Amino acid sequence: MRFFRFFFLLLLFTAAVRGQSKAVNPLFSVSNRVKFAAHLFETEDYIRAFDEYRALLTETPDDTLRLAAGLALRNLGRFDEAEDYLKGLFFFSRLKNYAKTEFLKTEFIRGNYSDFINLSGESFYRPDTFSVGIKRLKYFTYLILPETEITDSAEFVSGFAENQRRVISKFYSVKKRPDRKDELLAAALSAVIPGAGKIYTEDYSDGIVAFIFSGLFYGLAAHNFAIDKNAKGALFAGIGLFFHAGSVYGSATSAQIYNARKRFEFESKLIEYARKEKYFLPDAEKLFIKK
Amino acid sequence: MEKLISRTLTILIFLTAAVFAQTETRRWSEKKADYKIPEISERNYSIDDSSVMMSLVSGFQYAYYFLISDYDGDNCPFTPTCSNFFVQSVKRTNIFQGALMFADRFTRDLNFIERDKYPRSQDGKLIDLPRNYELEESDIVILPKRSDGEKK
Repeated sequence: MRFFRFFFLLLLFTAAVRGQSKAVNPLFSVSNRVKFAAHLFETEDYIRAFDEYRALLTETPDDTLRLAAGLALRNLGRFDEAEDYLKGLFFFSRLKNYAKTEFLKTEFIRGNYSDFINLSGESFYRPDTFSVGIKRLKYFTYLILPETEITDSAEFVSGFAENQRRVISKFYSVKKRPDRKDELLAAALSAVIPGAGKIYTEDYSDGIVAFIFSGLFYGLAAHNFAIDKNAKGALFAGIGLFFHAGSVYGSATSAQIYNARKRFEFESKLIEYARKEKYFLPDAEKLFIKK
Repeated sequence: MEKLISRTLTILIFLTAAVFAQTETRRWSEKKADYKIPEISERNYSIDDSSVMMSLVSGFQYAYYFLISDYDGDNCPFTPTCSNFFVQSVKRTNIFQGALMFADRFTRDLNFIERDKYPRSQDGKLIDLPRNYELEESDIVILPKRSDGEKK
């Protein structure tokens, strides 16, 4: 009987000491999950990071977690959902200034440049602590928007930090004097010499091929006219004219494509630079990632 | 003069054929088995009767298929192919502009030296969209080129 009592107590004791319990398992503690979510975010696994933050938010409503969830969504390109998360922090939150700034940043990242400029003009979205950074990003947006004119270069460049001014000056020069090809000149050049317009727009091989191709038919036409084979001559001249006209048209489009490509490259460089400079604003990721 | 031109033309054709022709070794080389049911894309030879001009254009396209494409095989380096480019150009603009766009494309098709400037599609074709040649700079789409690491 004693033996059974002893055995029963031993069992109970072992179960109490060694038994698994969700409450005391440190693996799934809130602090561990927060660290794990931050690790996922840091390693750019934003899908799983967002899942962790969302799961944490159901148990522990927290402004930093909400902000982190919004930024994870933004990095996934789910901008509308990201903005909804950020909007939830606009009022009565200790992170409301960060949330508003990140909201503006999201508008910039998703390419809503006009909306970004309009919103950044409103005092609600421009907390005093971050107003310098927002002003810089706004100025930077003027470089991206093709229709905006920047008149005072000195004032424009001085709005940026000392170490940024050299690069910004270069961007400003490109914006002021973009590398463009005149489509009318390209077409006119090709009208005189087939393919010359394409050489002007730096499509060298296309220009040479257009010259050889049209020239070949013009040559055949001239030879046939010279030996009184007028019908054949007219046929070759017609084909030559057709491809010559195509070369004139193609030179104009080639100039436009050249301009569009240069614009695309310029915009890509601008966006890359803005990303590198963290959009001229404080890095909210530091609030939940200890780098 | 005619001799010189015909000789140049012969050399050019021979050169193009030598560079781009399918080789026997390539055709019969080892291939991985693919058990997927292939998509059957048969040509639709129905005449587009939306307008008289489109009827003529689609007639021209089918003549081009029958006389050139079917014998040439799937060798046009571009997507859309030249004949499709012509039809799309006419549909998007008008017969005159479409014809000029086609003349320009046909000349560019002969340029086998510099083809890296076009982005490539998943099946390795050169992407060349008609919308980029409609003289509307704001409509031009610049597609990023596929990086070397990506599958061609």
